[in-house]
Amino acid sequence: MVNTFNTKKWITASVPIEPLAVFRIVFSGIMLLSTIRFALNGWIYELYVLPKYYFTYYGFEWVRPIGEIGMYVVFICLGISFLFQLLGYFYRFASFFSFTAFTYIELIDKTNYLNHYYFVSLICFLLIFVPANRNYSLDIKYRKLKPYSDIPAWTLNIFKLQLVLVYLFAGIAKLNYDWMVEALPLKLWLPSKSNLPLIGFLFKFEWLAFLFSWFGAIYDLTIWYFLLKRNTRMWAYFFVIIFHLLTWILFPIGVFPYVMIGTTIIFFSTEFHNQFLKKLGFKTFYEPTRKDYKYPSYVKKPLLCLIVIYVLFQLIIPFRYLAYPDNLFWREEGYRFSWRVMLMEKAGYAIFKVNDKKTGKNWEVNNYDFLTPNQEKMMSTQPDMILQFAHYLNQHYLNKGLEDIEITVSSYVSLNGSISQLYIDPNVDLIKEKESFLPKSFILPKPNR
Amino acid sequence: MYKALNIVSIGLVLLLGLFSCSEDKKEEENDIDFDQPALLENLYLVIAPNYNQLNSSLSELNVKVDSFIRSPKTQTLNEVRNAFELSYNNWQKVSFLEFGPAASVGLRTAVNVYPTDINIIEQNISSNSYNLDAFSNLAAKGFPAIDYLLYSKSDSSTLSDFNDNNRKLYLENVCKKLATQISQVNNEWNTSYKETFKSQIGTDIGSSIGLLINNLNQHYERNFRDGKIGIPLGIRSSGVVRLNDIEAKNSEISFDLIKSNFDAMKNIYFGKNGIGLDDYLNASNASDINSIISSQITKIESELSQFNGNMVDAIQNQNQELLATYQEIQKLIVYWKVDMPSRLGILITYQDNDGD
Repeated sequence: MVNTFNTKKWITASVPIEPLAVFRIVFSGIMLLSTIRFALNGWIYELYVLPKYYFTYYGFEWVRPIGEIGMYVVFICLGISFLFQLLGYFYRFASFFSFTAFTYIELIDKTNYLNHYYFVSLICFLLIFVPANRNYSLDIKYRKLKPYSDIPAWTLNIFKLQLVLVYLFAGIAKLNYDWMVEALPLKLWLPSKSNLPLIGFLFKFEWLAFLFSWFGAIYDLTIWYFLLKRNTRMWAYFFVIIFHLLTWILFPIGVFPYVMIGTTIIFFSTEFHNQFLKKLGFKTFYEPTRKDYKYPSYVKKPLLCLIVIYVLFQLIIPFRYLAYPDNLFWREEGYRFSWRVMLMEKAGYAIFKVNDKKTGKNWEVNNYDFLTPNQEKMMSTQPDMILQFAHYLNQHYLNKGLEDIEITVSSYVSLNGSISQLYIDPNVDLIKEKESFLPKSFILPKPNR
Repeated sequence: MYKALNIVSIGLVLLLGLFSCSEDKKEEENDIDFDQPALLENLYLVIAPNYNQLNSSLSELNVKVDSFIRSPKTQTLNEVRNAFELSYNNWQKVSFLEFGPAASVGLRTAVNVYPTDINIIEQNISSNSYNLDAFSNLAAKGFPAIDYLLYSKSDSSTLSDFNDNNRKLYLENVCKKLATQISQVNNEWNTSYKETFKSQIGTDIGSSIGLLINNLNQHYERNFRDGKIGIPLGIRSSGVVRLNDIEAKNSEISFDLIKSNFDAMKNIYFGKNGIGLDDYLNASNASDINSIISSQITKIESELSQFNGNMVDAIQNQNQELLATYQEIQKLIVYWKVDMPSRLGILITYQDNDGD
């Protein structure tokens, strides 16, 4: 990284608390707005009340939605909790609650998985353990917690590290043949914007897809370095804004650009953050002499272990796909939680076929009787969800008294514009297949172009 | 100075690589220059006349209903039946356009819920007190209700039934309601929605192309493949044949309706004689997909030509052929719902999406 790694500088040294306080305020503020937006869009009902079935995560099958009123209450509490976090009022409890509630919501249905939701969960988790409320907060003003002017460097740098990893892994993920050599999927996506006003005419050119693909890859791979260096930081941040606003214009990716633009200011200098707080009218509670925040000795060791394990996980998880055969984009084993954002154009169609062995009757399932359009769309391209749905159907028919049935699926998938191909072995009885971390034998090999 | 150098270096690193790579493929003519407004202009010219046609056939139906209830006899009955069959066929040409004006009044459920509920209809007739706008009457009005009123019994029984004033009134009310609702949607397509449809360019969820393709596919799956064939046939209803769920069960014009419906969807795809989705695919370097879709459409048409009129007969006597036809129909939805949107860059999406 920058010269040789300096333990003291990055981990143990005392640094001013301002950047962390600003991070707390900005992140919580964006999340508060994002929660309100989610509610106003009617998504609480649409995503967590309306569906008959939810695609749970492996090992988290026990996570269930808690009914209409319950879900609204969870979201209201989550919003209040982000507000408390922003104000730094009962901060430790609020940040713990935010993490738990947000992660709970995300675990209900993997249909709704987005990398930026995962990112939010991680940031919420880390915020529990840092003293972001020890200045510029209501905890100091009203709850008379001791204010501090300085904090251990790692409590700030862990967030920078997390952001660096997001960018870096997103960049590494782009280093594949389709993205770099074929400019896919941007070559498919951009021309549809060619009738936009002003800049639209540019999108018909094929070279623009190459330009964007390479710009995106180089940006993701290098931007963190320029953000870390003081001299290039302002220009790097300028590129951060350009890049994310561009993605916001072109793609329906919600608040993600704002989360990234907002959280990236943690790279800025203390002076910047001082100014920022002053402009917002926040006053420091610690004057005139400085005082370092120190963790009590009994938490130091467990906390160290926790953070080391956390970082190791973050480094390993995006590479877990290497343990699986064939093409990652086709099989999607080890695809989630790896910062693979807007990487491929994938669509599918799955026809589930039931064979009642007792009566010899055959029929096809109306997926729309059980799933929302979004659930069906997501399920059609992801083998673990196809398997889950087959088991759900089996349970449905068992309840109807059909005890000896076979469920197969004829599913077709198109990846990056290739003509749709058979995806799952249509002869495999999915009821007999079990979910696990092992490679799924029923996925057919990716066809050659 | 040092700062300036850094600024230059970051700019160079970020921009240089890009231009270097954009050179490679310049020889190939792969730029995609497609005129979306022209497509929408032409699709409007395909769609709007269909609504107009439906609208005037419904006026005609109401005229025929008038003379039929004034003097119920074989001739007037035949005339009203002919007008009904024409209207029902015309409805098939717009039934899949459940967006914009049609969506705002929920047109499809307002005019074509089948099987129709005979009990509610007879109850309404005998009580002579009903509100056709009520949710509870959704299955007691529209085309299927008329199909029941005009065809469910022999000609002589039908004629004698229509000596009952309540029954006359019910037929009249159902037909008027139908005409009013269609005319409202037709008006909007001719006035306020005209410009809206043509101006919503792009391929996002709210764009005209996005709306059209999404609704075409949803209709094709649920109402065409399943509603018209799959469910009566049993393949889409847990293996149980459901003769009661046949569209136009009494008038026995099911296959005419199926063919009209498919033909109208085909016209959207090819843009009739002008620019259509086929041209959009060709312009998007996806002529391979277009030729697959085109030949599948031809295949389905020739499969459908084996059947005439009565669905009950087909299910009972041409079961295997109908199953085979169903499977050909099913193949097209994969191309229409998966391949076509993928190649046109249509992000069919319902919530935020980061593409994974």
